[in-house]
Amino acid sequence: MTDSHNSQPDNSQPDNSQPDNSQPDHWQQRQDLLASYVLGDLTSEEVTEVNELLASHPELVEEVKHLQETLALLPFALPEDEPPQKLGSQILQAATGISKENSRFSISKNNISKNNITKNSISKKVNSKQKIWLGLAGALAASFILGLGIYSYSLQKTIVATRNELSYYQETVALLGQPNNRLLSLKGTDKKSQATGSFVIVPDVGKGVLSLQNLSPLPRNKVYRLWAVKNGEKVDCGDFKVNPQGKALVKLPVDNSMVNISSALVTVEPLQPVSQPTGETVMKGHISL
Amino acid sequence: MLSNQTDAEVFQELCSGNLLALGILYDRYGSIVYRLAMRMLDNTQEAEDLTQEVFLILWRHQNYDPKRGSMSAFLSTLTRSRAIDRHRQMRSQRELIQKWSSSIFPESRNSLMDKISFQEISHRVRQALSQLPNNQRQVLEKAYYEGMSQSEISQDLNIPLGTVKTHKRKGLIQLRQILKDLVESR
Repeated sequence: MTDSHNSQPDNSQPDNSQPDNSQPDHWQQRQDLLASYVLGDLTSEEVTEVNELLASHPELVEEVKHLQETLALLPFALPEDEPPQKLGSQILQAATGISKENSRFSISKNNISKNNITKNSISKKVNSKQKIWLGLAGALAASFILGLGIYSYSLQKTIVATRNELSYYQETVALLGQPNNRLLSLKGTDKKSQATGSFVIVPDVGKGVLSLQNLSPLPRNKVYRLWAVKNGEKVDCGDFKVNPQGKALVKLPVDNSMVNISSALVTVEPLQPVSQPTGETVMKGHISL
Repeated sequence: MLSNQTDAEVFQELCSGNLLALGILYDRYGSIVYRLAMRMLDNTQEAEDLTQEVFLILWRHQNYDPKRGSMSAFLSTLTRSRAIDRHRQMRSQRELIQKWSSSIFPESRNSLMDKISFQEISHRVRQALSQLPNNQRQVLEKAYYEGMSQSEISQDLNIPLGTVKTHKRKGLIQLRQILKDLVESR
Protein backbone atom coordinates (compact mmCIF):
# COMPACT_ATOMS: atom_id res chain seq x y z
CA MET A 1 0.00 0.00 0.00
CA THR A 2 2.07 2.98 1.11
CA ASP A 3 5.72 2.89 1.92
CA SER A 4 4.57 3.28 5.51
CA HIS A 5 3.82 -0.42 5.43
CA ASN A 6 7.26 -1.30 4.28
CA SER A 7 9.10 0.81 6.79
CA GLN A 8 10.15 -0.81 10.01
CA PRO A 9 8.43 0.93 12.87
CA ASP A 10 10.68 2.16 15.62
CA ASN A 11 9.13 0.65 18.71
CA SER A 12 11.93 1.44 21.10
CA GLN A 13 9.71 4.07 22.73
CA PRO A 14 6.14 2.87 22.58
CA ASP A 15 3.71 5.66 23.41
CA ASN A 16 1.47 4.15 26.02
CA SER A 17 -0.97 7.03 25.89
CA GLN A 18 -2.09 6.08 22.40
CA PRO A 19 -5.10 3.88 21.80
CA ASP A 20 -4.40 0.26 21.09
CA ASN A 21 -1.30 0.30 23.28
CA SER A 22 -1.21 -3.47 23.36
CA GLN A 23 0.14 -3.32 19.81
CA PRO A 24 2.50 -0.40 19.49
CA ASP A 25 3.80 -1.61 16.07
CA HIS A 26 0.32 -1.77 14.73
CA TRP A 27 -0.50 1.66 16.13
CA GLN A 28 2.59 3.21 14.64
CA GLN A 29 1.85 1.77 11.23
CA ARG A 30 -1.62 3.19 11.41
CA GLN A 31 -0.37 6.57 12.57
CA ASP A 32 2.05 6.60 9.62
CA LEU A 33 -0.81 5.85 7.28
CA LEU A 34 -3.02 8.53 8.83
CA ALA A 35 -0.22 11.10 8.66
CA SER A 36 0.21 10.43 4.94
CA TYR A 37 -3.57 10.69 4.61
CA VAL A 38 -3.65 14.08 6.30
CA LEU A 39 -0.69 15.23 4.21
CA GLY A 40 -2.51 14.25 1.02
CA ASP A 41 0.19 11.74 0.06
CA LEU A 42 -2.00 8.72 -0.60
CA THR A 43 -3.36 7.42 -3.88
CA SER A 44 -7.12 7.56 -4.35
CA GLU A 45 -7.40 3.80 -3.65
CA GLU A 46 -5.48 4.26 -0.42
CA VAL A 47 -7.72 7.18 0.53
CA THR A 48 -10.80 5.00 0.02
CA GLU A 49 -9.20 2.34 2.17
CA VAL A 50 -8.45 4.84 4.95
CA ASN A 51 -11.99 6.22 4.78
CA GLU A 52 -13.32 2.70 5.32
CA LEU A 53 -10.91 2.19 8.20
CA LEU A 54 -12.06 5.48 9.79
CA ALA A 55 -15.71 4.53 9.44
CA SER A 56 -15.12 1.46 11.57
CA HIS A 57 -12.56 2.95 14.03
CA PRO A 58 -13.70 6.17 15.74
CA GLU A 59 -10.45 6.40 17.73
CA LEU A 60 -8.58 6.77 14.45
CA VAL A 61 -10.88 9.61 13.42
CA GLU A 62 -9.72 11.38 16.57
CA GLU A 63 -6.10 10.82 15.56
CA VAL A 64 -6.76 12.26 12.10
CA LYS A 65 -8.18 15.32 13.79
CA HIS A 66 -5.06 15.68 15.95
CA LEU A 67 -2.79 15.40 12.92
CA GLN A 68 -4.85 17.99 11.04
CA GLU A 69 -4.76 20.35 14.00
CA THR A 70 -0.97 19.83 14.21
CA LEU A 71 -0.62 20.89 10.59
CA ALA A 72 -2.87 23.88 11.20
CA LEU A 73 -0.49 25.05 13.95
CA LEU A 74 2.33 25.56 11.45
CA PRO A 75 1.33 29.15 10.52
CA PHE A 76 1.73 30.15 14.18
CA ALA A 77 5.49 29.82 13.73
CA LEU A 78 5.57 32.42 10.93
CA PRO A 79 7.07 35.90 11.35
CA GLU A 80 4.73 38.24 13.19
CA ASP A 81 3.45 40.26 10.25
CA GLU A 82 0.35 42.22 11.15
CA PRO A 83 -2.30 43.13 8.61
CA PRO A 84 -2.77 46.91 8.21
CA GLN A 85 -5.19 48.48 10.72
CA LYS A 86 -7.71 49.37 8.04
CA LEU A 87 -8.15 45.78 6.80
CA GLY A 88 -10.68 44.79 9.48
CA SER A 89 -13.15 47.57 8.68
CA GLN A 90 -12.49 47.12 4.96
CA ILE A 91 -13.59 43.48 5.21
CA LEU A 92 -16.70 44.45 7.18
CA GLN A 93 -17.53 47.08 4.54
CA ALA A 94 -17.18 44.48 1.81
CA ALA A 95 -19.33 42.07 3.86
CA THR A 96 -22.01 44.79 4.05
CA GLY A 97 -21.92 44.92 0.25
CA ILE A 98 -22.51 41.19 0.08
CA SER A 99 -25.49 41.44 2.41
CA LYS A 100 -26.99 44.24 0.27
CA GLU A 101 -26.47 42.20 -2.88
CA ASN A 102 -28.21 39.28 -1.25
CA SER A 103 -31.20 41.34 -0.18
CA ARG A 104 -31.47 43.01 -3.63
CA PHE A 105 -31.28 39.59 -5.20
CA SER A 106 -34.05 38.29 -3.01
CA ILE A 107 -36.21 41.34 -3.85
CA SER A 108 -35.81 40.89 -7.60
CA LYS A 109 -36.51 37.18 -7.26
CA ASN A 110 -39.59 38.10 -5.32
CA ASN A 111 -40.54 40.58 -8.03
CA ILE A 112 -40.22 38.08 -10.88
CA SER A 113 -42.20 35.37 -9.20
CA LYS A 114 -44.93 37.81 -8.15
CA ASN A 115 -45.17 39.17 -11.70
CA ASN A 116 -45.62 35.70 -13.08
CA ILE A 117 -48.39 34.87 -10.73
CA THR A 118 -50.23 38.21 -10.80
CA LYS A 119 -50.16 39.04 -14.52
CA ASN A 120 -53.93 39.36 -14.74
CA SER A 121 -54.81 40.65 -11.37
CA ILE A 122 -54.63 44.42 -10.66
CA SER A 123 -55.32 44.11 -6.99
CA LYS A 124 -52.62 41.56 -6.60
CA LYS A 125 -50.23 43.79 -8.59
CA VAL A 126 -50.72 46.57 -6.08
CA ASN A 127 -50.12 44.11 -3.38
CA SER A 128 -46.96 43.03 -5.13
CA LYS A 129 -45.76 46.65 -5.46
CA GLN A 130 -46.35 47.19 -1.80
CA LYS A 131 -44.28 44.15 -1.10
CA ILE A 132 -41.45 45.48 -3.24
CA TRP A 133 -41.52 48.74 -1.30
CA LEU A 134 -41.58 46.81 1.91
CA GLY A 135 -38.71 44.76 0.60
CA LEU A 136 -36.74 47.92 -0.22
CA ALA A 137 -37.48 49.34 3.20
CA GLY A 138 -36.29 46.05 4.64
CA ALA A 139 -33.09 46.25 2.63
CA LEU A 140 -32.51 49.82 3.81
CA ALA A 141 -33.12 48.76 7.39
CA ALA A 142 -30.75 45.85 6.88
CA SER A 143 -28.00 48.13 5.59
CA PHE A 144 -28.62 50.49 8.50
CA ILE A 145 -28.26 47.57 10.89
CA LEU A 146 -25.09 46.49 9.11
CA GLY A 147 -23.79 50.06 9.43
CA LEU A 148 -24.50 49.83 13.11
CA GLY A 149 -22.65 46.51 13.06
CA ILE A 150 -19.50 48.20 11.77
CA TYR A 151 -19.87 50.98 14.31
CA SER A 152 -20.39 48.59 17.19
CA TYR A 153 -17.49 46.49 15.91
CA SER A 154 -15.06 49.39 16.19
CA LEU A 155 -16.57 50.43 19.51
CA GLN A 156 -16.37 46.94 20.90
CA LYS A 157 -12.81 46.65 19.63
CA THR A 158 -11.83 49.76 21.57
CA ILE A 159 -13.60 48.55 24.69
CA VAL A 160 -12.00 45.12 24.54
CA ALA A 161 -8.55 46.60 23.88
CA THR A 162 -8.91 49.04 26.77
CA ARG A 163 -10.23 46.38 29.07
CA ASN A 164 -7.40 43.98 28.19
CA GLU A 165 -4.84 46.70 28.67
CA LEU A 166 -6.30 47.64 32.03
CA SER A 167 -6.39 44.10 33.32
CA TYR A 168 -2.85 43.55 32.06
CA TYR A 169 -1.64 46.55 34.06
CA GLN A 170 -3.65 45.49 37.10
CA GLU A 171 -2.17 41.99 37.01
CA THR A 172 1.32 43.43 36.53
CA VAL A 173 0.93 45.79 39.47
CA ALA A 174 -0.32 42.88 41.60
CA LEU A 175 2.78 40.90 40.65
CA LEU A 176 5.05 43.75 41.65
CA GLY A 177 3.54 43.68 45.15
CA GLN A 178 4.56 40.06 45.87
CA PRO A 179 6.86 39.58 48.91
CA ASN A 180 9.79 37.51 47.54
CA ASN A 181 10.46 39.47 44.36
CA ARG A 182 13.92 40.06 43.01
CA LEU A 183 14.88 42.98 40.85
CA LEU A 184 17.37 43.01 38.05
CA SER A 185 18.12 46.30 36.34
CA LEU A 186 19.15 46.30 32.68
CA LYS A 187 21.09 48.81 30.59
CA GLY A 188 22.09 49.11 26.95
CA THR A 189 25.54 47.62 26.24
CA ASP A 190 26.42 50.16 23.56
CA LYS A 191 27.70 53.48 24.93
CA LYS A 192 25.32 55.37 22.68
CA SER A 193 22.36 53.22 23.69
CA GLN A 194 19.66 54.89 25.78
CA ALA A 195 18.02 51.54 26.55
CA THR A 196 17.09 50.97 30.18
CA GLY A 197 14.74 48.66 31.99
CA SER A 198 14.17 46.11 34.69
CA PHE A 199 13.25 42.50 35.12
CA VAL A 200 11.31 41.65 38.26
CA ILE A 201 11.27 37.96 39.15
CA VAL A 202 8.14 36.94 41.03
CA PRO A 203 8.98 33.44 42.27
CA ASP A 204 5.69 33.07 44.18
CA VAL A 205 3.67 32.93 40.98
CA GLY A 206 6.36 31.74 38.57
CA LYS A 207 6.40 34.91 36.48
CA GLY A 208 8.82 37.64 35.59
CA VAL A 209 7.85 41.15 34.57
CA LEU A 210 10.13 42.75 32.01
CA SER A 211 9.82 46.46 31.42
CA LEU A 212 12.11 48.17 28.93
CA GLN A 213 12.39 51.39 27.01
CA ASN A 214 14.45 52.96 24.21
CA LEU A 215 15.13 49.78 22.29
CA SER A 216 14.82 49.95 18.50
CA PRO A 217 11.95 48.02 16.89
CA LEU A 218 13.27 44.96 15.02
CA PRO A 219 12.66 43.62 11.49
CA ARG A 220 9.88 41.06 11.31
CA ASN A 221 12.12 38.00 11.27
CA LYS A 222 13.93 38.94 14.49
CA VAL A 223 12.99 39.03 18.15
CA TYR A 224 14.59 40.24 21.35
CA ARG A 225 15.34 37.36 23.67
CA LEU A 226 15.97 37.58 27.41
CA TRP A 227 18.60 35.24 28.86
CA ALA A 228 19.14 34.64 32.57
CA VAL A 229 22.62 33.66 33.70
CA LYS A 230 22.46 30.88 36.27
CA ASN A 231 25.62 29.13 37.51
CA GLY A 232 27.43 30.50 34.47
CA GLU A 233 24.86 29.09 32.06
CA LYS A 234 22.53 31.17 29.93
CA VAL A 235 18.90 30.15 30.08
CA ASP A 236 16.30 31.26 27.50
CA CYS A 237 13.57 33.19 29.36
CA GLY A 238 11.44 34.13 26.38
CA ASP A 239 11.03 36.44 23.42
CA PHE A 240 9.54 39.88 23.11
CA LYS A 241 9.14 42.76 20.70
CA VAL A 242 9.03 46.47 21.43
CA ASN A 243 6.33 48.85 20.28
CA PRO A 244 7.06 51.62 17.74
CA GLN A 245 8.02 53.86 20.68
CA GLY A 246 10.69 51.35 21.65
CA LYS A 247 8.95 50.16 24.82
CA ALA A 248 8.05 46.70 26.07
CA LEU A 249 6.11 45.47 29.07
CA VAL A 250 5.86 41.70 29.08
CA LYS A 251 5.26 38.89 31.50
CA LEU A 252 7.46 35.85 31.02
CA PRO A 253 7.22 32.48 32.73
CA VAL A 254 10.05 31.75 35.21
CA ASP A 255 10.72 28.80 37.49
CA ASN A 256 11.89 28.69 41.09
CA SER A 257 15.53 28.27 40.18
CA MET A 258 15.46 31.76 38.68
CA VAL A 259 15.69 33.19 42.18
CA ASN A 260 19.35 32.23 42.04
CA ILE A 261 20.26 34.02 38.84
CA SER A 262 23.15 36.44 38.97
CA SER A 263 22.65 38.44 35.80
CA ALA A 264 20.71 38.63 32.57
CA LEU A 265 21.13 39.80 29.02
CA VAL A 266 18.99 40.74 26.03
CA THR A 267 20.07 39.61 22.57
CA VAL A 268 18.68 39.95 19.06
CA GLU A 269 17.78 36.49 17.75
CA PRO A 270 16.02 34.77 14.85
CA LEU A 271 12.44 33.60 15.51
CA GLN A 272 13.58 30.01 15.98
CA PRO A 273 14.76 29.09 19.47
CA VAL A 274 18.51 28.60 19.85
CA SER A 275 20.22 26.91 22.76
CA GLN A 276 22.76 29.72 23.21
CA PRO A 277 22.66 33.40 22.25
CA THR A 278 23.74 33.86 18.63
CA GLY A 279 22.96 37.51 18.03
CA GLU A 280 24.16 40.86 19.26
CA THR A 281 23.84 41.53 23.00
CA VAL A 282 21.96 44.80 23.34
CA MET A 283 21.35 44.95 27.10
CA LYS A 284 22.93 43.56 30.25
CA GLY A 285 22.11 43.70 33.90
CA HIS A 286 22.76 42.34 37.38
CA ILE A 287 20.61 41.51 40.34
CA SER A 288 20.23 44.70 42.28
CA LEU A 289 17.66 43.74 44.92
CA MET B 1 -20.41 40.24 25.57
CA LEU B 2 -19.98 38.53 22.22
CA SER B 3 -16.21 38.97 22.31
CA ASN B 4 -15.99 36.72 25.37
CA GLN B 5 -17.83 33.87 23.70
CA THR B 6 -16.34 30.76 22.10
CA ASP B 7 -15.68 30.60 18.38
CA ALA B 8 -18.66 28.32 17.88
CA GLU B 9 -20.98 30.79 19.63
CA VAL B 10 -19.59 33.76 17.70
CA PHE B 11 -19.95 31.80 14.48
CA GLN B 12 -23.59 31.10 15.27
CA GLU B 13 -24.11 34.87 15.58
CA LEU B 14 -22.37 35.35 12.24
CA CYS B 15 -24.84 32.91 10.66
CA SER B 16 -27.70 35.06 11.88
CA GLY B 17 -26.17 38.00 9.97
CA ASN B 18 -24.42 39.75 12.83
CA LEU B 19 -21.54 41.68 11.30
CA LEU B 20 -19.98 42.21 14.72
CA ALA B 21 -19.40 38.44 14.88
CA LEU B 22 -17.37 38.61 11.67
CA GLY B 23 -15.36 41.46 13.20
CA ILE B 24 -14.62 39.41 16.30
CA LEU B 25 -13.48 36.38 14.31
CA TYR B 26 -11.30 38.69 12.24
CA ASP B 27 -9.76 40.07 15.44
CA ARG B 28 -9.03 36.56 16.63
CA TYR B 29 -7.70 35.03 13.43
CA GLY B 30 -6.99 37.90 11.01
CA SER B 31 -3.27 37.89 11.86
CA ILE B 32 -2.81 34.17 11.39
CA VAL B 33 -4.64 34.23 8.04
CA TYR B 34 -2.60 37.26 6.95
CA ARG B 35 0.71 35.72 8.03
CA LEU B 36 -0.01 32.52 6.17
CA ALA B 37 -1.08 34.52 3.11
CA MET B 38 2.12 36.60 3.34
CA ARG B 39 4.27 33.49 3.60
CA MET B 40 2.60 31.83 0.64
CA LEU B 41 2.14 34.82 -1.69
CA ASP B 42 5.09 36.96 -0.57
CA ASN B 43 3.30 40.21 -1.39
CA THR B 44 1.48 42.50 1.06
CA GLN B 45 -1.26 43.54 -1.38
CA GLU B 46 -2.01 39.96 -2.38
CA ALA B 47 -1.93 38.88 1.27
CA GLU B 48 -4.48 41.59 2.17
CA ASP B 49 -6.70 40.54 -0.74
CA LEU B 50 -6.54 36.91 0.25
CA THR B 51 -7.27 37.70 3.91
CA GLN B 52 -10.35 39.63 2.80
CA GLU B 53 -11.38 36.82 0.47
CA VAL B 54 -11.12 34.23 3.25
CA PHE B 55 -13.27 36.19 5.71
CA LEU B 56 -15.81 37.02 3.03
CA ILE B 57 -16.12 33.34 2.15
CA LEU B 58 -16.83 32.68 5.82
CA TRP B 59 -19.43 35.47 5.82
CA ARG B 60 -21.06 34.54 2.53
CA HIS B 61 -21.03 30.76 2.71
CA GLN B 62 -21.06 30.25 6.47
CA ASN B 63 -19.49 26.90 5.75
CA TYR B 64 -17.57 26.34 8.97
CA ASP B 65 -18.78 23.43 11.04
CA PRO B 66 -17.55 23.60 14.66
CA LYS B 67 -18.11 19.88 15.02
CA ARG B 68 -15.46 19.19 12.41
CA GLY B 69 -12.48 21.13 13.75
CA SER B 70 -11.21 24.36 15.25
CA MET B 71 -11.86 27.74 13.61
CA SER B 72 -8.14 28.39 13.16
CA ALA B 73 -7.67 25.03 11.39
CA PHE B 74 -10.65 25.80 9.15
CA LEU B 75 -9.36 29.27 8.25
CA SER B 76 -5.79 28.17 7.67
CA THR B 77 -6.93 25.28 5.44
CA LEU B 78 -9.10 27.72 3.49
CA THR B 79 -6.29 30.28 3.22
CA ARG B 80 -3.86 27.65 2.11
CA SER B 81 -6.06 26.22 -0.60
CA ARG B 82 -6.97 29.71 -1.87
CA ALA B 83 -3.30 30.70 -1.94
CA ILE B 84 -2.42 27.54 -3.85
CA ASP B 85 -5.34 28.34 -6.13
CA ARG B 86 -3.71 31.67 -6.92
CA HIS B 87 -0.42 29.92 -7.54
CA ARG B 88 -2.20 27.44 -9.72
CA GLN B 89 -2.73 30.13 -12.30
CA MET B 90 0.98 29.72 -12.88
CA ARG B 91 1.41 26.06 -12.03
CA SER B 92 -0.89 23.11 -12.30
CA GLN B 93 -1.65 22.14 -8.73
CA ARG B 94 -5.29 21.15 -8.90
CA GLU B 95 -4.75 17.63 -7.70
CA LEU B 96 -2.83 18.81 -4.70
CA ILE B 97 -5.53 21.23 -3.59
CA GLN B 98 -8.14 18.56 -3.84
CA LYS B 99 -6.04 16.21 -1.81
CA TRP B 100 -5.37 18.68 0.97
CA SER B 101 -8.84 20.08 1.20
CA SER B 102 -10.65 16.76 0.93
CA SER B 103 -9.34 15.62 4.28
CA ILE B 104 -12.10 15.46 6.83
CA PHE B 105 -12.46 17.47 10.01
CA PRO B 106 -13.76 15.34 12.83
CA GLU B 107 -15.37 16.63 15.98
CA SER B 108 -13.71 19.24 18.15
CA ARG B 109 -14.67 20.40 21.58
CA ASN B 110 -13.51 23.94 21.95
CA SER B 111 -11.19 26.63 20.82
CA LEU B 112 -7.54 26.65 21.62
CA MET B 113 -7.48 30.43 21.54
CA ASP B 114 -9.75 30.51 24.57
CA LYS B 115 -7.08 28.90 26.68
CA ILE B 116 -3.66 30.03 25.70
CA SER B 117 -2.33 33.23 24.23
CA PHE B 118 -1.38 33.60 20.61
CA GLN B 119 2.19 34.50 21.59
CA GLU B 120 2.56 31.38 23.68
CA ILE B 121 1.32 29.16 20.86
CA SER B 122 3.74 30.82 18.44
CA HIS B 123 6.61 30.27 20.84
CA ARG B 124 5.69 26.62 21.35
CA VAL B 125 5.30 25.89 17.64
CA ARG B 126 8.62 27.58 16.78
CA GLN B 127 10.33 25.59 19.49
CA ALA B 128 8.73 22.36 18.24
CA LEU B 129 9.81 23.05 14.66
CA SER B 130 13.37 23.71 15.80
CA GLN B 131 13.42 20.25 17.39
CA LEU B 132 12.68 18.53 14.09
CA PRO B 133 15.58 17.27 11.99
CA ASN B 134 16.34 19.85 9.28
CA ASN B 135 15.30 17.65 6.37
CA GLN B 136 11.90 16.87 7.92
CA ARG B 137 11.20 20.53 8.62
CA GLN B 138 12.33 21.60 5.18
CA VAL B 139 10.15 19.04 3.38
CA LEU B 140 7.09 19.85 5.51
CA GLU B 141 7.50 23.58 4.91
CA LYS B 142 7.92 23.19 1.17
CA ALA B 143 4.79 21.06 0.99
CA TYR B 144 2.70 23.22 3.32
CA TYR B 145 3.70 26.76 2.42
CA GLU B 146 4.82 26.41 -1.15
CA GLY B 147 2.25 23.80 -2.12
CA MET B 148 4.98 21.71 -3.71
CA SER B 149 4.14 18.15 -4.71
CA GLN B 150 6.25 15.21 -3.58
CA SER B 151 7.96 14.93 -6.94
CA GLU B 152 8.69 18.65 -7.04
CA ILE B 153 10.27 18.47 -3.58
CA SER B 154 12.16 15.36 -4.63
CA GLN B 155 13.61 17.21 -7.62
CA ASP B 156 14.22 20.42 -5.70
CA LEU B 157 16.13 18.76 -2.89
CA ASN B 158 17.50 15.96 -5.00
CA ILE B 159 16.26 13.19 -2.72
CA PRO B 160 14.22 10.07 -3.57
CA LEU B 161 10.44 10.37 -3.66
CA GLY B 162 9.98 7.80 -0.90
CA THR B 163 12.29 9.78 1.37
CA VAL B 164 10.25 12.94 0.80
CA LYS B 165 7.13 11.08 1.87
CA THR B 166 8.82 9.59 4.92
CA HIS B 167 10.28 12.95 6.02
CA LYS B 168 6.89 14.66 5.71
CA ARG B 169 5.13 11.94 7.64
CA LYS B 170 7.72 11.61 10.36
CA GLY B 171 7.95 15.37 10.74
CA LEU B 172 4.21 15.69 11.19
CA ILE B 173 4.02 12.82 13.67
CA GLN B 174 6.90 14.22 15.70
CA LEU B 175 5.31 17.67 15.78
CA ARG B 176 2.06 16.10 16.89
CA GLN B 177 3.93 14.41 19.77
CA ILE B 178 5.81 17.55 20.84
CA LEU B 179 2.65 19.69 20.67
CA LYS B 180 0.44 16.96 22.12
CA ASP B 181 -1.21 19.13 24.78
CA LEU B 182 -1.95 21.96 22.34
CA VAL B 183 -3.26 19.66 19.66
CA GLU B 184 -5.42 17.56 21.92
CA SER B 185 -7.02 20.56 23.62
CA ARG B 186 -8.31 21.93 20.32
